[in-house]
Amino acid sequence: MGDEAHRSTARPLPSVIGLTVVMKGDLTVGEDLVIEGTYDGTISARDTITVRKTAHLSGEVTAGRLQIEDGTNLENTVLTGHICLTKD
Amino acid sequence: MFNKKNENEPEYDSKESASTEPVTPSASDVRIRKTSVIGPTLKFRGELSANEDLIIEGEIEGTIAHHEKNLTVGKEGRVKADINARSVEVFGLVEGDIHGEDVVKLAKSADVKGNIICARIIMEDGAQFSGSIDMAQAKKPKAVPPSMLIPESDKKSDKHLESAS
Repeated sequence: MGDEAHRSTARPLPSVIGLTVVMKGDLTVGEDLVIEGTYDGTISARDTITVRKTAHLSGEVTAGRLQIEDGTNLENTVLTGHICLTKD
Repeated sequence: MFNKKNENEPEYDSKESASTEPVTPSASDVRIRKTSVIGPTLKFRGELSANEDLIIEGEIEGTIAHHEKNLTVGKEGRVKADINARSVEVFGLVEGDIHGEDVVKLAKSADVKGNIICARIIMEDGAQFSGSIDMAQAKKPKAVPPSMLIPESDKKSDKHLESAS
């Protein structure tokens, strides 16, 4: 997609949705994303999404690669992508 | 695009699971993260609330609420939302009201369209701003951080001063 040039020149900051963050809505992201907080809605990512076990997800998550920590509660979540479970 | 990537992934996975390296607690588990980052390619539409420092380099549309810590809108940050935070630093674009309980800082690269309500303001030469600044509203008792509270013993002398003036 159009962002490729931009990404190669300046390495983007990885995004972090921290422990105390509560988000509700629609999200698209072109870089890696780490979720530790609460998210309700849709997420669409090209690269890796890492879901920590502190996260509370509900909605739809689509990613190139989904790393999910052992013990994560994924009730009411639809996941699409290459999923891998990780131990902490 | 995704498919290409997926073909390569399993190799990496099997390597990872087969490795017998001792599992040490990862740094991210031990460390308590204090700052959230909205990266430059991230676009979010909706409601966001947090109780930690937040750096926005991406695009946010909606509301940023109950944010009691510091918020930074980076050079590439584009925010179309009302912002509530203790202190706000803007290097990018903000369309919406900024409510900073303490200080609001507009860097020279900042472009703000909206009203600013804060106790203190710093505006660098070159900052674009269109809207109003209200510093009286922010001086309500609620806005005073605990560290600024006057000790009991000093209050009497303060009252004295107030009545004298």
